[in-house]
Amino acid sequence: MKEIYAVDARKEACGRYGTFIKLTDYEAFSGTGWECWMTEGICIDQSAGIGICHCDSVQPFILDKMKKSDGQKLIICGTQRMILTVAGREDSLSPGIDSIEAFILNPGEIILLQPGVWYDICRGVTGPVDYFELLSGRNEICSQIEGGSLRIVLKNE
Amino acid sequence: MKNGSICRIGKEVFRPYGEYYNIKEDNEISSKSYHAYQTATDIITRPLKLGITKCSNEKSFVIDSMERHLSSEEVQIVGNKPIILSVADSDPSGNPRTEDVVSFLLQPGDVIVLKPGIWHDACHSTGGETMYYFLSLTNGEPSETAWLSVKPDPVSVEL
Repeated sequence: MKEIYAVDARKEACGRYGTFIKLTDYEAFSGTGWECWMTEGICIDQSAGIGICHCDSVQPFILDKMKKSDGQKLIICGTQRMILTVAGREDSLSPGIDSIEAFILNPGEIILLQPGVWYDICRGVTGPVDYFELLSGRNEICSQIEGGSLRIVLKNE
Repeated sequence: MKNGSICRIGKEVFRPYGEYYNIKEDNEISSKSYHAYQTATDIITRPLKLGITKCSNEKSFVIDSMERHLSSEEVQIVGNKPIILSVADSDPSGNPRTEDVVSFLLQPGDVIVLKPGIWHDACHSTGGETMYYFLSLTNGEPSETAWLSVKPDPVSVEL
């Protein structure tokens, strides 16, 4: 089975899928007992519902299908590191196995996926994860990966 | 100093301050490895900025100042631990008033949308460090993010 490594998300590497932001890179505002960070600009420019997801699955994992939406999808990492799998948004009926990438998101990081980008649920790096989404699309399709299943692993350092 | 109390949140009791949603009452998608919930309607209705707040506190805290945004609503999404949201519907042209301060307990799955002009503190943790997420877009006036003292006295809240 083909295997790919999950790598830390970076602005340039995620650029073909959307916009990656590490909020904690910005100046923090703080008060007694709290600290906050905010995006410099708007984070999503479409109307959106709000979603929450709890996933018990942890790397390494097998990926055999992905989904895509007709709207934007903003993913907010919770308090645990997690892995997001994505594939390019060419107008295809299924994601190609050679086009899939896996990115690690850390607490404080968000990514806005553009319409048509393939994605799957996020899995934990070291344990179950809770994460949050803003969802502007109302039509989502799911498709098997063209070329077979894929194993996602963390690179041993 | 006034002693405040913590109220249970609900649609009707929160209506003077904005809208309350429990995402877990809406659409659920589950499999053996995950549970996902999504609001039935759009909560974000215009472009907004996103923020993340990390908070931690002891078993009691003091609400001594608040802010309000005349030009923007504020959406708040609870993280993976309960938090306390304190609000006041005092005249937004003055200071938040002690007698108007109300504190609500929010659980994971809860989302609120504060009306423009509602005074609010940063949310407080119910135990340990936690994170929550918020969205707003003000007009950039300094008064939109100014913190004003609660008058005549702060409010102390015991968890």
